[in-house]
Amino acid sequence: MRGLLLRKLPSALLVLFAASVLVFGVLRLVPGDPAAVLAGPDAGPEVLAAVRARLGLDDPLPVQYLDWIGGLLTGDLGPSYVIGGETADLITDGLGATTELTLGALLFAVLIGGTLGILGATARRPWTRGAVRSLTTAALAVPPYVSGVLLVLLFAVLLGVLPPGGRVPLLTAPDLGVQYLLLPALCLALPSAAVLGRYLEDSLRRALAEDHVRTATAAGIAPRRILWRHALPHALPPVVTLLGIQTGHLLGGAVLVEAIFAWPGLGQLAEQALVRRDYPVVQDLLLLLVAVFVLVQLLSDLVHARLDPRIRWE
Amino acid sequence: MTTPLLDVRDLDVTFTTPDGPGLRAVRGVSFTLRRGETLAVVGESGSGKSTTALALLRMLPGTGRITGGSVRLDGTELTTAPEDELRAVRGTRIGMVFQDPMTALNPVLTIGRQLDEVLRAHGGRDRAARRARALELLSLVGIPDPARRVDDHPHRFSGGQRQRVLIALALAGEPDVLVADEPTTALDATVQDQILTLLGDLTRTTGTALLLITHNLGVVARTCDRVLVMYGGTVVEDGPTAEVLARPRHPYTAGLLAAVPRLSTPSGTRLTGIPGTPPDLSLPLAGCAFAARCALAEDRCRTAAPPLTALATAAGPVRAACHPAAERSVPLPPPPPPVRAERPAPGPVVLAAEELRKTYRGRGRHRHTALDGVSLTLRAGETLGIVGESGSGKSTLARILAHADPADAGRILLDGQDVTRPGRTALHAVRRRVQMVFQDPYASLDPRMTAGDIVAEPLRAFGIGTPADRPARVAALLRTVGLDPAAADRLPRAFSGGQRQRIGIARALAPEPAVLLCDEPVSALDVSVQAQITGLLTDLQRDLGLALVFIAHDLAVVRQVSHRIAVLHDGRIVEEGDADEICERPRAAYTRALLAAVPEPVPAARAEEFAA
Repeated sequence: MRGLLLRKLPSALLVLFAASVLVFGVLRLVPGDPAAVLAGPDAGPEVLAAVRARLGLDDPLPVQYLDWIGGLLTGDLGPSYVIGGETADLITDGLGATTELTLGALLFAVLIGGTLGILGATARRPWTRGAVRSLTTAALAVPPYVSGVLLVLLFAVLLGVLPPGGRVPLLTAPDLGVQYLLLPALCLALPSAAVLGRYLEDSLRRALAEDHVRTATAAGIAPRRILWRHALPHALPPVVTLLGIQTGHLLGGAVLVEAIFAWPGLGQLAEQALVRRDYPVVQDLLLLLVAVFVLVQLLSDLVHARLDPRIRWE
Repeated sequence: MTTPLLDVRDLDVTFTTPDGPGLRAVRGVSFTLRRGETLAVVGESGSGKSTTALALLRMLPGTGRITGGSVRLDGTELTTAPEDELRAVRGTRIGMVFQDPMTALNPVLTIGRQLDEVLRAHGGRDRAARRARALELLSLVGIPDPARRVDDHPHRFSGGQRQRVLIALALAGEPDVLVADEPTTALDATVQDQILTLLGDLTRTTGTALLLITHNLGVVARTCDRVLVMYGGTVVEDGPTAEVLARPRHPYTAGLLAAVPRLSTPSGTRLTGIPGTPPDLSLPLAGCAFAARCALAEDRCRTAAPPLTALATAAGPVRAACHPAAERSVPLPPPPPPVRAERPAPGPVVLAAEELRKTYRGRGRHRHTALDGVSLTLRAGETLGIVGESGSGKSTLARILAHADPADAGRILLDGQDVTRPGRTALHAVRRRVQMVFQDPYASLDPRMTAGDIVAEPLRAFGIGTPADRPARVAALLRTVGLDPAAADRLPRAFSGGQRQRIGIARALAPEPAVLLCDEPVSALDVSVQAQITGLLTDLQRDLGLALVFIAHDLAVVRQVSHRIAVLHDGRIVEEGDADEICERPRAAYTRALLAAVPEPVPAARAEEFAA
């Protein structure tokens, strides 16, 4: 297990480095000048130059890049340009909310996707399989801004059982927090649940057609036990890898869902920072996203190796 | 006589197909198995032998269903038993061992877990007791140091050891019948020998009856008291093994026996085959399933299905389903004497390899030396047989000679020129001169290309001929390999295994090569069809002066088709020389072990009688 981690680590670090260069470069290439935004439309060239000098924008690009990375490594993210306050504080505030939303969505995706996948692979009746198929297709086809509005309409407006938006932190008030979390998490989870369900169904169906399932059947092991103890462990490893990729999608999708449900997370922050050319905040956010993604991949590789002993060579 | 343990009567199995009446894979099969008896069910692909075995436990794949007849175990009907009753039979009354030990074990569970699951299903409550029993079972089937190996996953075991574990799984419920479906087909000859010995010992010591499904008559002769021969879903003959194999009554049994390559047959002898192809099971059967391929068939054989008629012999009753045989009390005449193939003397050296080395890198510091200094020469019009077990490096050698992989060291000479590391144009020229025929005629043809396109592809790739004259060239090539040119627009799935291998050979011949590398060209084919392909290769060699490298694990086939044999072991040639010389006077200990492991189809005592 440690050998695997050591083998995967260099490429993970390389991805992080490449991503940091890319993020830094792209932000310098997009039109729009943070100094101009900060100084206001009426500022003269001297004011603009003064603002630039204060922000360090007149330094050569490599120096700016090194300043940024050095700050990251020492934990000093510096102040935000436009939004105000320390970048680190802004991100920490949003991080809790987004983590809560993403984990909630992940839980939903696994529960719904798992149920649909197992049902689809084992159902004998054609109409059950058809129903599973239609459900996953619908969940895949409907984008979050449609499903989100529909969910709000149904649960918040018509039934009035759940709040339409906003957030109460789960840790401070669990009972209330769950009510606020349910709709956005479900909305965010639906496409991932559909992908997971489809994939699990396929993987499980193939596992059930394996020779070793025939061996187990011939040995007199009950079908239910074969499903849970023999076929599922065999079907899971590739699904875990997919789950890792889906987690990345959830983080990306959170931007949209947070806007729909007025969820004060990183998505909201990213939107604000982008519109107002707040370089430090955007840079740090994007890099954080990449870092989380890399970490999740690493984690799913480790879980994959845990589940499939053939990968686990010393 | 006591009532039989297993009584199968008039069993019918049909696979429903989306169009048409369905495939009748098993047609009226009847047999009995007594307690402690060993019965072999032998037949070629499509004979219905495996389907019969799976039908016993109602484990038919896909759309297969039992459509008639009965299966009684100690008087209990199994074909209509409810599913949970059947589950109680599986494992505890009838245990099964399947063909491919590489896939029949769950790769993500330790073998201890898998044994534990079975023991648990059979009511083992106490975890510690189950583990003790698992260790006991592993040592019973000859896994060394079970206490240390029990928590390993299947990929840590060799093929032979996995098959032992599978046997342990099947025996865990102490069944009365052990059904083994081709248990040794995927294994090397020396390992096959060990597994057969194990099965024999186990049935003797535990009193378990054995139903062995196989296509290999040598395995039958070595393991079973009684044999049941199947063809086209029907039983054609059944009786004591020694009697049936020495004095076959049914022409199919006789033909099958004659088709098995014998180690004793000298080099340059043509293999004997059975002409024609097996019957189409989707068609209704009017008479005898074998009539279309039978030299002795009469008019009634094509109209009325012959019943299984019992015949008393000294060794016990023999049943045969053959009209003429029912009237003849004497066995069939012996097969025609072997025909010598005319082989012109080999010409100059076309291909030579000097001290080839190849090492594959594994994870970390792991290295595997696949070839360790292999040298060989090949003359025009000559066949060099390369024999070795899995892992000996024979496929690596083929890949390097075909320039599919580069060698780490050594030289390859083609027509005297060094082509070890050819440039782009030189490689193109080498590829034209050296072509390959692959083992699996199912996987080596693109299922979406027609036979004609497959054969035309190398013509296009090497720019041979013009687009206008290529169809004529393809037709000529198909005719050369004995196929009807009219079949050019059909897809591979419309052809039988033997016909597909012919397409593969036509493709290899298209660029007019000087050397044909054949990697196990007949091992995926039935014995009765093998002869057609080896015969074709011999004819092509005579007519075109081809140099052949014939790689195989079956020494008997290799001896017959090869001029010279090289025995490969652990990446080295341990012995090389004249084909007959190697088989009759082997010098290397490894060659002797290989020769000793090949099971002969006719019991030794009867062999001379049969040959006379």
